[in-house]
Amino acid sequence: MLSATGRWLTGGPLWTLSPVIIFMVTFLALPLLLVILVSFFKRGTYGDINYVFTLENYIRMMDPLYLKILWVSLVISLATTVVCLLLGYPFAYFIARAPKKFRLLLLMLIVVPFWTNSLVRTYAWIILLRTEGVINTYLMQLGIIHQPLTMLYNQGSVLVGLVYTLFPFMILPLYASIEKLDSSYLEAAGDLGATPWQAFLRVTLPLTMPGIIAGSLLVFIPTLGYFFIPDLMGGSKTMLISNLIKNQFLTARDWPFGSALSIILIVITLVLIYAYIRVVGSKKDTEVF
Amino acid sequence: MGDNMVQLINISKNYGDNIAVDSVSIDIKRGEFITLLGPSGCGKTTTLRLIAGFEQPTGGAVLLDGEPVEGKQPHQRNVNTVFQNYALFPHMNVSDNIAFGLRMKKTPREQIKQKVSEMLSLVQLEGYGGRMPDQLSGGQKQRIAIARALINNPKVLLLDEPLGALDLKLRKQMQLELKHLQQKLGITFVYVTHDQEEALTMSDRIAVMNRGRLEQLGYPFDIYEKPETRFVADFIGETNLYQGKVSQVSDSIALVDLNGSVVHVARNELVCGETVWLAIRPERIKISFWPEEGKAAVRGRFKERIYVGSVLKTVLKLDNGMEMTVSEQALQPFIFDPDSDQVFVNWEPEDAVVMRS
Repeated sequence: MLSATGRWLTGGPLWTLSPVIIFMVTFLALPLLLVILVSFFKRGTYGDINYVFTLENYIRMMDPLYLKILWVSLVISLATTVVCLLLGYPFAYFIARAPKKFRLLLLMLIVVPFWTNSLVRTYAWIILLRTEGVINTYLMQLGIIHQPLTMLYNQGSVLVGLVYTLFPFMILPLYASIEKLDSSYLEAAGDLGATPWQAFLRVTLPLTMPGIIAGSLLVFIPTLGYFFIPDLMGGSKTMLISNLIKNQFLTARDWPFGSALSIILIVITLVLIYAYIRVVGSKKDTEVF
Repeated sequence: MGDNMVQLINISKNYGDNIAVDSVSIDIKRGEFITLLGPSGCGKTTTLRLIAGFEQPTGGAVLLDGEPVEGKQPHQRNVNTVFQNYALFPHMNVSDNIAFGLRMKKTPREQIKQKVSEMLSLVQLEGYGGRMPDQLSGGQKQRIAIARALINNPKVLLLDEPLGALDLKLRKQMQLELKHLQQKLGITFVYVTHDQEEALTMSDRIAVMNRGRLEQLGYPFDIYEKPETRFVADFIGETNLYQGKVSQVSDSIALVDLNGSVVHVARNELVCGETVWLAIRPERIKISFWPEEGKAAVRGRFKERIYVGSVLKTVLKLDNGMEMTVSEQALQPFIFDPDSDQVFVNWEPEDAVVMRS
């Protein structure tokens, strides 16, 4: 710790940090400050901001309607993260253990679809899933079903869209941590009598925990804010915190309430990240008999 | 059962066209300390991995305690390995590392606890149980790795260059400790190293390997004094190695022509006209002003002297164009004038080891 600080101080003049500082202040600190300020003001009659201090935006959020939206949002984000992790871990493991010449290719295959705009890809999912969409049409023609399946405009379709969109954010950190796992640890585990499954639970999983944490955070946090996927794939029934906020700013023109919702979202996210890191980070095998 | 703990029967291992191990056969006795010795890439580590079960042979068979282990995974074999880089689990403390093997066997906790502290005292690291591997020095990690490998009471302990990362002094100390540990426990040790001195110090027997093949298997004394191949003579210790031709064979001796200088050697069923290699250890050679009676002798001139502490090495340029290194006790060297004196190098005919390959 000391040496790191020392190096930071002696590593070069402080002004070399100024581009970073300017960037962070302009694009992070100032907007955030603005949002915080606005959240304590009143909404004007015509959607403008009335500069009168109030706490009513925060009090309004205690309404069960909004609390439920918040709860559902957290559950869906958590579900997205879990599904991404369960699908992503074997996937990343497979790529990391593939012959070296194929690894880059396989990673590319995961990343390439994401060069297309995510809005376009979300519409592609709609074409696939909707009542008169590709899947239903084929299933009906093949005579497997007689009534079109309802696959769109529910929480399940939102989950599909979110998992699909955020999958690479899970794969990449997982891949990085699995790939750099020294295979001699696994050999040592096997040598000491561990079956492959035991070796995975006792050695691979704890040693790739940094990748799991990083991937989970990279999926969980954006999921809470991706408003267009619930908007497009969730229909009118699925209101999540992200489109609630969007609606406050763009439709209801209630900037103060939208700001307050944003602040709450940020606070909840920070708390969850902190708790997660504390729980997983401190579990660093303190097991002593 | 029988006397052999490990039997390698004509084992081979190919990686595509690359032959890592080429029909090697070794019988390793119960309780023996055997060393696989050779330069890097000679197949010694692969041979060890074939015994451990990390690799499966492409030919031949491995027998552990009389039983073939073909197709058995490492966790199904009662052998344990000490890895070159120790491979201590970085997320577990010392106790958990050592206990790992017993936990896999679902041993009761109390028993594990007792066994772990036994192991810690065996490697003289009592009180280190709570440390994490990155808080240990190289030598301590080494001991923990040994303790971890020994806790399952393996029939054979495999050690893959375990002392490679330690500095010279610690290495020498650990060599003896390992040797004593092996004698105390009576477990069969298979040790891999490229350090010939280490092999000579520790082993009951040494298997010298080169390019996937077994060059020679024997006691350290024989490996050093009676190398069977040119490679072994060259690889083990320092030696003077010359190519020559058998020019005459009589009842008891043979004459070998070394580039014009004829020396006599023990007969060894040599055939006139065949090409042979002669290896003469520097410490077996004496310098004198005149050729000594009954010895092989070649005339030469001083080239250089190298002081290495306990011995003094003198390099001479022989009349036949070859160079020869002679080592003498540093405190009592043969005194002569390097600029003008012609001297003779002498050795007993039986001290020259004759090899056909």
